[in-house]
Amino acid sequence: MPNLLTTLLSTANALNVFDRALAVSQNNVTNASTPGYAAQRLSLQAMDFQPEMGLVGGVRSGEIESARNEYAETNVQTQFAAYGFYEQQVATLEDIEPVFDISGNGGIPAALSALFQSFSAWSVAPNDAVARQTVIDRAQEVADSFQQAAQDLATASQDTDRQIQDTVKQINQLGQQLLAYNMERRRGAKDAGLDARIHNTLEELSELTDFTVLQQADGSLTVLLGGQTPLVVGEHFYELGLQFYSPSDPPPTYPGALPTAHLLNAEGKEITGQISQGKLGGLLQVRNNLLSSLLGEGNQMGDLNRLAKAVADRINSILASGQVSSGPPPQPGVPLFTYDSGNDTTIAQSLRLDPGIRQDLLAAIDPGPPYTANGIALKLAALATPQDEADKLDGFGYAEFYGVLAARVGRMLSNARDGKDFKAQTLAQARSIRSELSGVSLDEEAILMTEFQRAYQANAKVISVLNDLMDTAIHLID
Amino acid sequence: MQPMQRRVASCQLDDLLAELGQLRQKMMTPRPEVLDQVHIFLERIRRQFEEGINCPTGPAKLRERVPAIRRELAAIALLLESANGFFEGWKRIRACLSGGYNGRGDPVNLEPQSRLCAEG
Repeated sequence: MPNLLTTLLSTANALNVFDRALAVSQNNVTNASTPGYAAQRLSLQAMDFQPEMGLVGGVRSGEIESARNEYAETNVQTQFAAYGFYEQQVATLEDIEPVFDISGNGGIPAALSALFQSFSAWSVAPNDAVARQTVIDRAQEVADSFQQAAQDLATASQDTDRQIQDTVKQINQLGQQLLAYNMERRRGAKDAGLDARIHNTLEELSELTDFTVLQQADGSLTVLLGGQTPLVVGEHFYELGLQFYSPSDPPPTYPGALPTAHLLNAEGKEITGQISQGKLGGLLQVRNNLLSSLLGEGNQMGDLNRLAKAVADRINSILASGQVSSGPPPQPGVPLFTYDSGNDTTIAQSLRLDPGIRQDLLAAIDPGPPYTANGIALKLAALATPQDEADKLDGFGYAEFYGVLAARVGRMLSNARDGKDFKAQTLAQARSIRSELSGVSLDEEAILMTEFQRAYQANAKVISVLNDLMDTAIHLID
Repeated sequence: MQPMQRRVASCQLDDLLAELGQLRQKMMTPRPEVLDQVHIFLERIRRQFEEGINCPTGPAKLRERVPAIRRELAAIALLLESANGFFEGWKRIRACLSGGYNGRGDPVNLEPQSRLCAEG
């Protein structure tokens, strides 16, 4: 049979339990907007109630349980990695796109167009010194525009390299943080604050790269980059490395080319192909695919260099087939352009006028047969609307080929913008689902707090009554 | 093919676009009731397109709006797809947790038992 004292103890215990439950709920409300925080619940357990055996019932607190849904967390991380990929691509490509001016008012297309027009004007008056000098001036502009484009792309490439280095550094810093959290967890820390910090760090990491995270029995996390390469395992951190080089297997066709970016695991093995998402994935794709396709790398010359070479070689060969004067003796044509032939991947950058060229050395005469006084100038003017396959590159006229390069960049940027817009929405959706499943609902917390407060007040009232009864009992004894 | 009837007011395109935008916003929190609304709404749009979209201000206005409508529909489709992907995955995980795996390594499909409920 319970006496006043056991009832008092039971009620006091209930007060403690409700106090704890209120603290959990209060902590939820306080952290409603804390990144990475998941709602916590104190489980309540009824105590045995068998009065005849002296068990007076009551309530006791169980474990604090987290509402976190790891599947929803993984979904957010996946969506964030995809968003990070496109976000980074948009940022990087917006710096590259201006290099490819397709308005026709500037850059390579305008310079080529002006050069072809000057050939046309020269063909009308092949011996006119002004028309000849105009050809030289326009050719200089073509060389300058190729150099400028190559320089701008090289600068964009350097910026991208720097961003890749920064991103790798950030990934390693986040890996170090996760290592520290693993140590805390292994020491037994299991609080909601640590859990929130861990998940916030994982979310930050997901913006940078794709990874898989596994929770071990001891509470520590195993983080595998690209699902394969360890970054953190228990109390071990494996630093992600970065190097720029031209792979030696197969041996590079263009050894002097711009090196490509390579991610290395802690043992120095190449893992670049494993990273396809996040900002790092976006940067690597622009750097190793797009910029390499334009500027060249160990195994490709680069389309900008191919275009520069094709323009220079074709114009030079047409001029060389002509004559400056028919003699006797006939004076052969001289080249208009020159470039560094020792490195095919720097042709655009090194394209310039041949130092020996002068307006009076331009060969307008096509010796034929049939002999044509302005035949070479006409052939050069025809480059604007080429019919001969020799005047084309990959089946395109030179201006068209440039358009193909510009379209490649433009299409990639357009896709990245669309991807960014759409992924922003799926990311918001994933966060919303996560919030529904494991976030703090202020309405729910308000209801819970009211319930606990009522229970708390009811028990406090019982204690007050019991106190009064005990006072009465003591007075009776006195 | 029957030619499209031109009997819907021009503002309908703008209304449609605005409604699609609202629907997309709703899809950010893909609860079952939202998914039901999406289905009903998409059916209504389909009927509207079948009946014909008119634009008294001229086809230029129609052409102007079509890419935006396509874009909204693509976004909604993507959100539906990603919500479906999430819940399908979640269903598989729950099935694995409750029923384990079969011999092929797939989650055991636990069909709910039929129940008879009689109330007096």
